[in-house]
Amino acid sequence: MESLELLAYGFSIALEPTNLAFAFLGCLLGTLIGVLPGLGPAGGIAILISVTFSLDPIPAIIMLCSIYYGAMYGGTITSVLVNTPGEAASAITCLEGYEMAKRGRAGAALAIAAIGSFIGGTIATFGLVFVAKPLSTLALRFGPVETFALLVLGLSLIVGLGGASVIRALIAAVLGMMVAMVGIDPNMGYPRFAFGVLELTDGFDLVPVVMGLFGLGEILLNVEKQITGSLAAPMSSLVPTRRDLRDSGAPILRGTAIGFFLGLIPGVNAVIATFASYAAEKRLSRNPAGFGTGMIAGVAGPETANNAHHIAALVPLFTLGVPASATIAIIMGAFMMNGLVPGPFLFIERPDVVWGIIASLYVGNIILLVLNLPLIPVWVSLLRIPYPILFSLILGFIVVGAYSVSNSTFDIGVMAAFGVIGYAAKKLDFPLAPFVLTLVLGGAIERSLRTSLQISGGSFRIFATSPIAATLLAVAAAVAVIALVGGIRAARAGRRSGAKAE
Amino acid sequence: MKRSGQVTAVVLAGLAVFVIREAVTYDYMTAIGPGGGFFPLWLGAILLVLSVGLFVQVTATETRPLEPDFFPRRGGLVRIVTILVAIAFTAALLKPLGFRLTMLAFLVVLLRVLGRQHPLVTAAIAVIGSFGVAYVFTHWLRVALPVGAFGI
Repeated sequence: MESLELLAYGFSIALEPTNLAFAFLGCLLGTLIGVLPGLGPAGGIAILISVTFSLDPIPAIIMLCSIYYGAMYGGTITSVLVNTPGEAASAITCLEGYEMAKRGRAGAALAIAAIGSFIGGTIATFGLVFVAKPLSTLALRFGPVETFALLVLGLSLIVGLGGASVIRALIAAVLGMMVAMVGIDPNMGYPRFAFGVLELTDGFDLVPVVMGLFGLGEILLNVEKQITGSLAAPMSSLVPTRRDLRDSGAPILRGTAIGFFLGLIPGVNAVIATFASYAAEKRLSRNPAGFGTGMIAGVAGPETANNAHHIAALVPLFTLGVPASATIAIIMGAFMMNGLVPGPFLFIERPDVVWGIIASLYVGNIILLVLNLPLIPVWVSLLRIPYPILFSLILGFIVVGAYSVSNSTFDIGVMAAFGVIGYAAKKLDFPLAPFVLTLVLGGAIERSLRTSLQISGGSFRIFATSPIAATLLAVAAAVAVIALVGGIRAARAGRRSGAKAE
Repeated sequence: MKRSGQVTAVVLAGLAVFVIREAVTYDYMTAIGPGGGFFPLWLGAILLVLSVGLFVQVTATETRPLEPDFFPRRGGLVRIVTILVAIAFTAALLKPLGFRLTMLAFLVVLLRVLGRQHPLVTAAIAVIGSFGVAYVFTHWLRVALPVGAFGI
């Protein structure tokens, strides 16, 4: 009951005209980012953080969250119309959505995706409301020992369940922590690894780093190939038939459940949720052989799971201060830039921020539904703008965004350097999510570890004496072992198949 | 992929050694607990172990050949280098020339290198992307952008 009262309070904030306007603008920009192939939600948010510098914290975060879920829906549009997912989680939608588009049913596919996203997002937001309060109350008991254990668990889940090579993911995590430790020592207050460079004394600013890694890095990958313009399949009526609605009902409900529960686990990304939903629909279908030929259940389920996942993934951030993905780590960085530390204390210290943002998720879902269906033809026409023009403008925006963080040309250099690192990481199969996670959390990890060791006089036993910390660390160790064993088996299987092929 | 993995592992090991050497110049332990060198030293050591692990892993198990498009072709390389050089020039000229003129030049160069449009299209987009963006940032977002020697 208390949660509902707080939610009502949140609505009074989210429905303020300014916040509503920024939610609208965020949805619009987010969808635009989702529509543009090659620029995912992480890159889009990284690039657009600079737009929110002059805003108050609440509209700034509301806008970034709106960009986040706007980008999810935007990715669907290109998956259906041009068989090119705007972001990875929409890849599975190509299978059925594009087949529907080829048969002149793109409108129905997009409408069902929008309706499913709306329902999944709304139910997931309700789930968030009821899960958030008890979890944050539990987290209030955490001292530095438990906080360190929790951060290690979050990290191990991202590394272990992220789907990439465990060793590469661990290296990425360590590198992120190394970048985070440049600057003032969090406990002693003197600069480290600054090498006499004045700009490094305060450490690397998050924005130029993520702009480089995700924004510039993606564009460098894209321009490597000859880039030519526009595509787009023909559009049809946006009104789904009665049969479409009937065939989508159960997949939407199942997609919501799959997306929400997988979204609660840091490291289980939206791609896994959408593939799980697609697999469930295929298995449960009366016509599994029809999948791949344009089955609407294959659009409804995964698209709903995608949106429910993205709302649920905010739960660990709001309640525990642990971001579940690279995109959410960037949003966490935006919180911190505004002087807000996500976690249980935020519920007590700034309930206006937490509940205002949670309520804005509802509002954003409604805006997306109302905004996107009529605007689909506009997004389609955007796809006709030649990529060279789009990329040039985005690059200009990245440069001005990096500069405007602290009016420093040094940050443009930092952005360019991390752009090259992001490009190389993609080429060499290094995942960026663990890097960004530890870049954002590196300070907190070091601080909680060192404070714990100060309390214990340097003894690591302190992590075994706290039951919560011991349990969290045991789960983290189990996840790491399972991931390592899985990795070794996969490598062996790869070697065997390689030997057979020879 | 084996050779690229091995080279990466060696570079990372070098970085780890560098971090360890720097970390030992800070206090490892102080009277009140771990010092500024504690965390970097451990991170450096962990990175060194992981680098060795990566080297062993790719040497023992990597069977995939290098992807044909691992290295960019000439055209792609020209576009990548142009972007990076253009960014470097922008950073260098932003304050002396001012945002508007620097961004105008930046966009003209990129629009010509990344694709071929009508010169009028190039000019229009470059003006919108420089003078237009400057207007939005300074008037709407209240972000001060540099004004150069020509007062623009």
